[in-house]
Amino acid sequence: MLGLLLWLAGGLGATAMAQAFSIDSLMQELARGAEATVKYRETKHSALLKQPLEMSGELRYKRPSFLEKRVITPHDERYTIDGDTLTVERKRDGRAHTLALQSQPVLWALVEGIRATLRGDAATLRRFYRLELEGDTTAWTLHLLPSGTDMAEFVRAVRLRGGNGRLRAMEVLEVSGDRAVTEFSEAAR
Amino acid sequence: MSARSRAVSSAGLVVAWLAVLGAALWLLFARTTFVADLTAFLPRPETPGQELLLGQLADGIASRLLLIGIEGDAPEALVATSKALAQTLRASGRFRYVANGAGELPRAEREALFALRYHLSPTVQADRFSVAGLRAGLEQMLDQLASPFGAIVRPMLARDPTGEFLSLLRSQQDRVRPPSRDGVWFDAQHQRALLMVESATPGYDGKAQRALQAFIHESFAQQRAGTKARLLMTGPAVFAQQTQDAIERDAHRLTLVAAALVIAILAAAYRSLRLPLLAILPVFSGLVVAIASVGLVFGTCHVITIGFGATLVGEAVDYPTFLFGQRQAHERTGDTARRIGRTLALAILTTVLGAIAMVASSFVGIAQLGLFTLVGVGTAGLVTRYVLPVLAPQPPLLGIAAGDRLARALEAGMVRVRRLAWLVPAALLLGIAYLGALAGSVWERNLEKLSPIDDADKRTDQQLREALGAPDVRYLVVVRAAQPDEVLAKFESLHPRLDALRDTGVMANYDSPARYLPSAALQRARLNAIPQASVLRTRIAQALEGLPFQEGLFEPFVDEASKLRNAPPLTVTDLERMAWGLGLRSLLFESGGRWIGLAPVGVVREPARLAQSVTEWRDPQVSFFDIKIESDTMVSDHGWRSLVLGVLGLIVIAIVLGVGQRSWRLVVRTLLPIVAAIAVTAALIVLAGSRISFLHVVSLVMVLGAGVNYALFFIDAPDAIAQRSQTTLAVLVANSTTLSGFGVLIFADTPILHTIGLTVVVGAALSFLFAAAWASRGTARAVAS
Repeated sequence: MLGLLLWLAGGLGATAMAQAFSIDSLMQELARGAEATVKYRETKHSALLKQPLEMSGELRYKRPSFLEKRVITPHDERYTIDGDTLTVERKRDGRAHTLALQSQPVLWALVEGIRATLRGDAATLRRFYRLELEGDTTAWTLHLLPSGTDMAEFVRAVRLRGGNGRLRAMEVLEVSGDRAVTEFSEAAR
Repeated sequence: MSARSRAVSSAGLVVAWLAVLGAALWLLFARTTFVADLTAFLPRPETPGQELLLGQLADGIASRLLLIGIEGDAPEALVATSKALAQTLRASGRFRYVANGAGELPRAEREALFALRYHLSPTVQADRFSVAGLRAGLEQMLDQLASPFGAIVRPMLARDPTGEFLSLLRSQQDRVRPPSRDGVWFDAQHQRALLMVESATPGYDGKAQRALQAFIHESFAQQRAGTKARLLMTGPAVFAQQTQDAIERDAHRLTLVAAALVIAILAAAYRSLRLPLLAILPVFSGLVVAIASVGLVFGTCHVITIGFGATLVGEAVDYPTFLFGQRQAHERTGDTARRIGRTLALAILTTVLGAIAMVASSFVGIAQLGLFTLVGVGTAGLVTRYVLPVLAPQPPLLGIAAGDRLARALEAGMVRVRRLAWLVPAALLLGIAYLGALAGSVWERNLEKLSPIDDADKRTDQQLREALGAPDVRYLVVVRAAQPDEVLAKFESLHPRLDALRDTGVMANYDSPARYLPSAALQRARLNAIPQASVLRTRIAQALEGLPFQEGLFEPFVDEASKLRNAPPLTVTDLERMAWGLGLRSLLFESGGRWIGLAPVGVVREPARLAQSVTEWRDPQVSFFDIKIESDTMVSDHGWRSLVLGVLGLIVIAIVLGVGQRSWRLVVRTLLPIVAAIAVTAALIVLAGSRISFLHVVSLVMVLGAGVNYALFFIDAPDAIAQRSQTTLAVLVANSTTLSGFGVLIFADTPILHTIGLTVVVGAALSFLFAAAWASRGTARAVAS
């Protein structure tokens, strides 16, 4: 029901503001998005590897700043971010360790790339990236271009694709030429 | 002696005085080096722990460390300012190390550390390079590559497939680090950006430290452009500068006020302005000659010596008053000098010879002070006795005549005070009983209390220290050996035992120099574990089977690792210019030809058990210290030792008086009121909630010197009422100048000066009253009978 309403709202919004699609309107649209758990499938292409790595699992987001990436294949791993706290649990290590997200500048920028986007928080995004938007409300691509030297040393750009108020895919383009493509599909539960 | 030859010898005296003064001034400006190293004023260390403590105070890494906070603007602005400031400071090359954040590990540092991974990583072992070991490493790196950390791991993967660099970084992870924001350290509230800087010059080099701090302030002023950010800076070197500045400020301001007051009192007493100016000559000559001789004898003159020495020589301001004040209408000054010669000589000699006990002290600061007093007071005395009569043969009289109102008022006052004579021995007994009952607890034990740093600065320092995870170290496990490598090897053998103590909860954590630099033997074992290139190449090929890595990808690893097989182990100097070396340098250093390693122990829950465990290891190279206990004992020993010096000085003074006065009853009459005044002053200090420290002792030694003079002149006062009133007035004027000169110090911002001022004022006032009541007693009786 909620989905339908959102779809209607999204549709109405789209017709009303078709002319004025901008980063701000995209952010407003995303800010209305639901908290959700989605499945993902990630493919890592690297010149170091003979064939790409395939990973999959679930991504959970709760407003305003909780994000959890649970890797199911190939290994059971969980990355939980709540505010500034990052907890990494690896089945194979057996032990969880916790660190301050902000002490890892590159990872922090990557996390905000998704987390601030899901929250519709352009201000936070702009602290890390220069933003460029293509497309319209039904199919858009948001380019995140790192502005800090810490991240720019490793990452060339993050490309987010989506439409109708939803994030559909994320692509991380590394300076090395490697890239990781993550596709999000509908809710898991 | 004919008048003519007397005139010639007078001229000769003045010429000799000018020559000595000139030579002293030349020595002072051209030859004397002034030092401000606090340790000269701490007692000579008697235990290894005290030696360690003093060494660290003098040139420990702590003395080179500056803690910086930037606050007062939005976090984004602070981040930018912190980064720009760190950049400027690093580029200047004036610092061994500049750290401002976790993300900062500058590229140069990262690359240097990466190159040393096989020397330093705790996970380098023989099985690491077996097929199974390599396989495990490769699988882990594959996971890392697939993880959110992939982008960071990737650039070093081909050179470090077993992840030694990551192990190396991880081995430091349990250390407390401040939270960071955009890679810049912040305090927990994100209000203050934090930096930690280690200067390349030693902390005790005051001049260089001052220049360095000025450079930081200038760089900050340039970098903050347009923001509202403020700079906070603390650290031992900063405090040293601030203290010196504060004392100088106080000294400039208060010396002027004090001099004006003293001159005003003297000018009023003599109704002349020339006389007060002449009265300054002896003490000025005394100070100049004293500084020059300390420099000549000790090679350097300590700034603190001059400060305290000026206090001790302050007594000499009274000498001209005793001389001019007692001149009778018919006398020339030279005649007065001869008439009161013996008393004046005793007044001077008691102080000069009393200082000999200090000169003999084993600790440099006190010995310098002793010499300073001896020479300063001696010179002032000689100038008063021989030069002033020539310069002012017939100065204005201290205006008083028998029967005039002032004389009658003084006499009445003296009579009233004398009725209270019984109070003097009572006060002495009470004071001594009170202090005796408290015994050892009257001495200041806390080194902090002697610290001249004001509380607000202490708080800021504490905040920065805690925020930066650099808390004050209290408990230490210490290893001493002839060579640095021996120390490191010893620590490696202690690690399992310390781990055990940590795991049983005796303490929460410890640091160790061997974590930063393994012993040569361990490094060699690690490097030798690396196989030859061909072997390594075969094994990695086997380990790669079934993994998706490209063929030949790990050639850089094979190449770099196998080349290190026969590399020499790293030494302390190899890490000199790296941030990594900061940890090492603070925990491993040379002192007196031996190498000392420190393992600071954090959050100790059972200090007694820790101490006992270390004792039970029965290793002569290993010991345990509680720095607080060491410093407390040292400071209270200090108090005891100054008491011993004081008593020795008193005995010398008694002997000098005995020889001069040729009557033990007179000696007692002279000393009793002054010792009573000192005992009561000391008791008052304790009653007011303070404890007796070195500062009080120096002030009381000054009181002793001045007080004995009051008593001597009271005893020596002529019988005729008019002349006696004149002596009373002279002593009163001398006392007023002391009270106003030192009274001004009570208003000093510097706690040291305030303490000296207050102690001298109370002590000198009591000395005057007690001496008036007790010492002048006999004269009164003689007149009455």
